[in-house]
Amino acid sequence: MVFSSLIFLYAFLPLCLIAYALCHNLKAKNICLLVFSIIFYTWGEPKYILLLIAMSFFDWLFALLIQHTEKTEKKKRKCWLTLACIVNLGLIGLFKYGKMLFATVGYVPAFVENLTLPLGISFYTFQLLSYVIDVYRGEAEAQKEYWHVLLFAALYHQCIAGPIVRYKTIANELFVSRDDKADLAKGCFRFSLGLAKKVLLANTFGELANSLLLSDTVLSDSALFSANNSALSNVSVTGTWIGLIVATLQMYYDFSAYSEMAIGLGLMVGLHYPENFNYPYIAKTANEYWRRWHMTLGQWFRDYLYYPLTLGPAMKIRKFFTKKTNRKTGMFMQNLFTMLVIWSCTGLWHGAAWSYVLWGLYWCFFMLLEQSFLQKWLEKIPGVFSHIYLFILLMLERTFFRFGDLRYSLTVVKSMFGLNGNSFSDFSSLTLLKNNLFLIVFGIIAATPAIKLICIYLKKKMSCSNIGEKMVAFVEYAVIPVVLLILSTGALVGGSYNPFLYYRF
Amino acid sequence: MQDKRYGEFDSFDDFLSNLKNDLAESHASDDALLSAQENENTNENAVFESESDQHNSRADGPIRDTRRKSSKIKKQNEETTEKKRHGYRPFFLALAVITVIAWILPLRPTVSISEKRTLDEFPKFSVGGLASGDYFRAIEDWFSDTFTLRENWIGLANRIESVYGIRTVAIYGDIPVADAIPVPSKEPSEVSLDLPEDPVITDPVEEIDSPVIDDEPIIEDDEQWGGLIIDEDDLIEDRGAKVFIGDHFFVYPEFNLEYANLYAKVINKIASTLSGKADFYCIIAPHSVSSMLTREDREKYGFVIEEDAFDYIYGLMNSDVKTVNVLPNLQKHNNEYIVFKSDPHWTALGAYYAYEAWCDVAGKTPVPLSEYKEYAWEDFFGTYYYTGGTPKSIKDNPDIVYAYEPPGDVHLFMDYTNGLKLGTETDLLLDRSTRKVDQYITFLGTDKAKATFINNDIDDDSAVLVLKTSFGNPFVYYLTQHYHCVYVVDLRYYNYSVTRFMEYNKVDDVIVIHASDLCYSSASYSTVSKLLK
Amino acid sequence: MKQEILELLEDAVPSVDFSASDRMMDDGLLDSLTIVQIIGELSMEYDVEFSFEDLVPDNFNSIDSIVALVERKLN
Repeated sequence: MVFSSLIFLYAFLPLCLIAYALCHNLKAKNICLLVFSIIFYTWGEPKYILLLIAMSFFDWLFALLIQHTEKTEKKKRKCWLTLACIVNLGLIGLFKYGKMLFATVGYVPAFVENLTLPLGISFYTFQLLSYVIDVYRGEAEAQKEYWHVLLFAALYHQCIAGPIVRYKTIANELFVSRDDKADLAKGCFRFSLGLAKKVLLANTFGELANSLLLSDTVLSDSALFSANNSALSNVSVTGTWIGLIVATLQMYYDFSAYSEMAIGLGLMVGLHYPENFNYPYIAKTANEYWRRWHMTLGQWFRDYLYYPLTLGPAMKIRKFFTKKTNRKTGMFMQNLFTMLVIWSCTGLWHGAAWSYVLWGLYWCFFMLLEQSFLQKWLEKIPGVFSHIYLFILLMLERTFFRFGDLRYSLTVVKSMFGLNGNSFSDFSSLTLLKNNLFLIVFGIIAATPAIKLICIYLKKKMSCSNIGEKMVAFVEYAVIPVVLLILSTGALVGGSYNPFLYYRF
Repeated sequence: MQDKRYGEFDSFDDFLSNLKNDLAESHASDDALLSAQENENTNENAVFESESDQHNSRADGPIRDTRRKSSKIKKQNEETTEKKRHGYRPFFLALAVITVIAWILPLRPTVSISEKRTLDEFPKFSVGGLASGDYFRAIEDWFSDTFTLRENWIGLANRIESVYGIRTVAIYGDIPVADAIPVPSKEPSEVSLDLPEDPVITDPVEEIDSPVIDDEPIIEDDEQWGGLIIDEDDLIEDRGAKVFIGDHFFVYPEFNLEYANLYAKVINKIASTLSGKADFYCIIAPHSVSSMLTREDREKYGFVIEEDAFDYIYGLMNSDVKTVNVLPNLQKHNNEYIVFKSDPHWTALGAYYAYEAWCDVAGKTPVPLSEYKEYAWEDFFGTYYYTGGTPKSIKDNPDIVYAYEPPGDVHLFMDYTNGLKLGTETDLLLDRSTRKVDQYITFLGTDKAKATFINNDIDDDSAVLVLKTSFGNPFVYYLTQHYHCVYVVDLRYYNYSVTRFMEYNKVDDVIVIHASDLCYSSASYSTVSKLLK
Repeated sequence: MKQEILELLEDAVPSVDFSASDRMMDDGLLDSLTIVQIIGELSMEYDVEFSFEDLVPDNFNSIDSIVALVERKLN
């Protein structure tokens, strides 16, 4: 079950909201959320619900053990933490990365071969790790009740596809007290916004990208390799570029829509999740891009990987190189080491294949480049060039990582410049572009804060009069959410195409 | 957000402090987003302050000012929160209404008329299905597929899509990549093509001159069909992409060299088997686009040029095969209503012109259409109308299925065992006057039965065996004027081979007639080769 | 040692006035990233190791507590 499906909208969600509204105290409400979260998870992945339950159990246990060990017994506390990390990372290592690791070694045992990726494991593992580590660091109290920990991990809003909510962010609202009516209307607004982004924008862009540049299913079929390769070399230059652009737009809308819906659902029950996207495509550098894209992941890595690394191994490296050479080199190596580790992990988090590690390192490379000299250059020239620079990075990123096979990527690179003997434009690409012109232009504009700023401005202007104010409220709470809900429902019934790009998590 | 300089590594500390600043900024931007919301709130609060209040609060001393303001702000906050408290109502109302409608189970459709298929059913329970998650997935499919007011929602989806861009010429679906057509090794046939000067893309529907027939009206007899015949296999397959030009849908023809060669081989083999026993005709029906657009236009839009394809395929056939190229005659009449706008088939009129071309090769004189009785089944919305975004131009002026009943003492028998029996008699043309989507079924009614036309006015034992797919349905009616007996079997469904059939029935001529797609796919190859057994 | 450390830190993080307050971390004058910088410098200079647990207000609220921390590490 995904949020952008009819069964969720018109069966699961109404039932959940009604049941929740009937609960009168916090405990009952949380039990309600837990029950529905278990149902939601089991619906999508019956066999792996036990894994979620088990991992939460271990982390609940270890957190309590850490809490009850005196702060002075540092070794013992660290031991519990290490065990917890081993269990968590071991489980995700097996279920998510097992095949990849064994395949690299050369031998894949049968039971590993048959494993499939458990739903949301990348999200809930990180959330649980944040819980245990926060308890260890003394920033949070361990939960006495196991089902609290399970709720934190399994809460259906963000268990499957984020944002990654760290324990200390949500603990108070989840377990102590929250006002679940204050932002109910806002929740409706954001949820409907996310729904429309996914169904009307992301899905359409995805279909368009598939029409121009082949679909995932087709690309991953090795039997079709030569057919695919020749198809990709025959796409016109226009078709290739348009295809890459809409594929980029799809990526953003697909993932940010899901976070938006999660945030909206959270607001409906008084839970405030952190934002995950901040208009990443207006960034001027790769560094800035990653401070706007999947922000909760970046923050997680910063808090739980960057600090330990910088203080520990990276410092050792700095000392080593400073002694051998000089201070400058020492600091450079410290930074290089930290960046490489963090970006390999970021890449690896996104998918269980070495190509994902390469993907992380792709971004890392440009970030390092910027840190050493590129950023200075970019600042000396007009801002528009920075945007072009990022545009090129995004195009290259899609070219090398959308197609699953480097040979395809090379063919596409050549097609981008007409080097495959492909024409500059052809009827089908131009027609598809014309057919979707307004949507594409809207998609590009909506990826910038322009629309939001215009709305805020209009809102300010209208709010000068009582009538204007009422109109604003009417549009914001009556018109937009309802219209978006209805349009999205129509599109959902009308289409069968509703995949979810980040579902592999 | 302004990016700071990261500088050289001398200032790694700078780097860290800048990183800190930037992170703070990115948090700040979140805060800014949040505080922008708060600002909106404050502005909303400001609205509640009337002008006189504002004036007063400025004049008063600080203490009283604050007190009044704080209570005012509290009141404003309450009022705003009150508004927000109710703000969820419209959304939840809409959600509730649709949910209730969705769950009125009897209202859920079980069959989609426009898609010509039964919709997904609620799945059967099984432990295995439950454990694998398939059971739940199937429930989801059922829920979406049979969503109440499905047709209306799909209509809405089409309206939405129509504003995505400029859709005067629109592509639906994925365009297949076709092989290049090799130059035929034989000399091309000498049929001269008199293409009209300005072939029209959109064709106005022209009335055919036919005298008023005062026969007794056709008795409506739906009972033997059980009403709507919705069967997966009867689907007109929606393969490949469509282009919408003007008010006409055109499908992209295919061409696959390997299968084209195989097809020719099979046809040659059938022809050799029949050599000396029966005359063997091969009629390949072209796509609508080949008749309606000029060659230049087709090349411009990337359509496979079927003139070349037919030249090639027919060029591979041996002398036992009497090939019939119907395309020139169709092109000659393309200002008439020879193909449907929203359906891949040719009209009965188009089939008639194909029949004329066959007569040319067979040495027969075509019986003029004026001698046939014309029926018009109106408001025919073909498959492409629904899958192509329900365009207004077709909605306002839909296709009409014109059907021509052969003159003379002609009877039609349907053998539903699809075997060697004669079967039961039925109407020549099914009455489709009350239908909205499947009027094409008026010809023969079903492809899964063997049809036999008997023309008692022809007093010999001449017989023709027609092996066809759906394009052949309107075509066979014209053959009734030349043979006492016309046997019609569908290539896809008939299980007896040609030779086997001819052991039981005397057959003078054998005609194979089907759409060009059949030549290019593996499934079709096996279908056609089945006839060799 | 206090003077050494003070000079080292003022060099590394010129924007912070280390003698200004006894509650630098609590007051937000130092945040965790600045502290990581500081730790970096101290670590290099005195060849000691720090861990995440050291990043607490008790250790970083005043220049004196920082000095105390370093001394602890050295022993």
